[in-house]
Amino acid sequence: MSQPPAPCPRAPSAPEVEQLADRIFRRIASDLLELSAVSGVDVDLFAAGLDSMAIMQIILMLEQEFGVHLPDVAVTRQTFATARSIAQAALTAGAAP
Amino acid sequence: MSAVARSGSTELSGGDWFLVTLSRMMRAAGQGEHVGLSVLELGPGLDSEALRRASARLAAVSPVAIGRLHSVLFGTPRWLWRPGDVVEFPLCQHPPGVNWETVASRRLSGEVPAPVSFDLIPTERGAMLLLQWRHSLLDGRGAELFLAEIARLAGDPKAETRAGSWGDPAPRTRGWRAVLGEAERFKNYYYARARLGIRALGDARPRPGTARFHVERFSAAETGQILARAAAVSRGLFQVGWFLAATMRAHRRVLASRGERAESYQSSCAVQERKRGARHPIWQNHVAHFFFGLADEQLGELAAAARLLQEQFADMSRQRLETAFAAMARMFRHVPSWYWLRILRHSSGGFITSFFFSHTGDFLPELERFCGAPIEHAWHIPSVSQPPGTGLFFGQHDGRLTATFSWREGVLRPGEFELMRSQLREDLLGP
Repeated sequence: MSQPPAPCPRAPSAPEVEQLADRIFRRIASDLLELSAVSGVDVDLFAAGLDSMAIMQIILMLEQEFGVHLPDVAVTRQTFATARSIAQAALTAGAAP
Repeated sequence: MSAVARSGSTELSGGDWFLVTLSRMMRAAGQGEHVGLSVLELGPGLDSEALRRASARLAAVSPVAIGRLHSVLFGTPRWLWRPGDVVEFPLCQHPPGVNWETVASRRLSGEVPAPVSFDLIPTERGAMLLLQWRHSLLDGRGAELFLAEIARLAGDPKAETRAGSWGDPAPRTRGWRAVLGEAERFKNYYYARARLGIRALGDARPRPGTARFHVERFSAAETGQILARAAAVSRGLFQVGWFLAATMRAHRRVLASRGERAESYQSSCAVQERKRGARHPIWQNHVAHFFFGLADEQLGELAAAARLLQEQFADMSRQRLETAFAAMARMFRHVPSWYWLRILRHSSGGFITSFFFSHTGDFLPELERFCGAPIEHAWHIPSVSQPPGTGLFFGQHDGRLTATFSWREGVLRPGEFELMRSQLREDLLGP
């Protein structure tokens, strides 16, 4: 018997991305990076000091708190550029908004 | 110059106590103080009076800079200051024509006027500014924050100085049971993976020797080429493994030229405990360590070695080994430094580590000018103890990589530095 086809990945909606990006941003700001109150989900995280250690901690946070494993192909500089791009990648990989 | 008004003290961090331990070994062996240098290559326009004024203002709120070590058996060691203690960061202005590397060598070999001091050397293009710091008081990131604070105060004479710029940047494991659990976790990880048969290029027994160094400066084009090669392995995100693998291979090449071979190579890599982008705390060492190791046969190919080290990095991050290390290092503040050193040497055949290594990333990317002068380049030069006798330290400024080779006189034989340098360049840039 053939396997049922895998469901097509659904593109996350803008409110879903916004909501998750906000949660991710607040976690990064509280634990990893010194971010000012005026910065937000589109702030350039690399310019704010994101380094390899912090990236690894974000990956672990996504796994432990949001239950999502980023595929290897998604672990790129573009993915970690902003909280919004991280949320986009996490939702695409199956995170609950 | 500023006199301390009130007495005070602060606990040494785990990193401070480790550095005090190493410094004591170095002094006893005739290797001088364990100091680091941060070097700014400046363009024209430095306002040295503004630098002096800003430095005096920072000194006035930094009594910890002249803190005297106070320790009692099994107690927590503290940096202590008393009313009347004078805090000053002396600035030595050299005449034009002085070679900055000669001044740097003297400072690294322990000829230091104060725990923290400046040397200013005019050049044809502007000036070289050397910040000398006692390593048990500051780490590399702290030295960068110190310079940033001076620049901020010089740029705005009315800016408020920030007092209390020391102490813990992160919440700590509290309670003996929890601390012991964390220390045990680190110990189990370390001994399960500790590499046997490590060698360093220097003797296992400490010997006297002055500090030597060489700063390898890569152009923007070369740096682009190096980062592109590293990115092919790490996708541009986890490049520490690449640089550490190249460092291991450079040491392996020298040992091979002696007709010797280490069974394995082991090195720690500092992990910052300050939040990224944080301006404080400036003072004290706020680093934990990850421990990496590869067997000799795993170093045959650079990319494969870098991937293995990257996996070790991911594994240690997953297990939050940096918090376990930090808890253990803090626990060891309560044991005498001679005993701490004995443990370090016992578990490594006397060598402590194969070599010292760090990659401190971008040197203050947000700071373009310093006291009126453009910063054209910047790097760190830490001195190293023997054992192990050598260290390789990477950093970057304005898209240009630097690799600082640091060693003790007598550790490298004639021709060995060139061998190490050529192996590193070949690995980083490609054949």
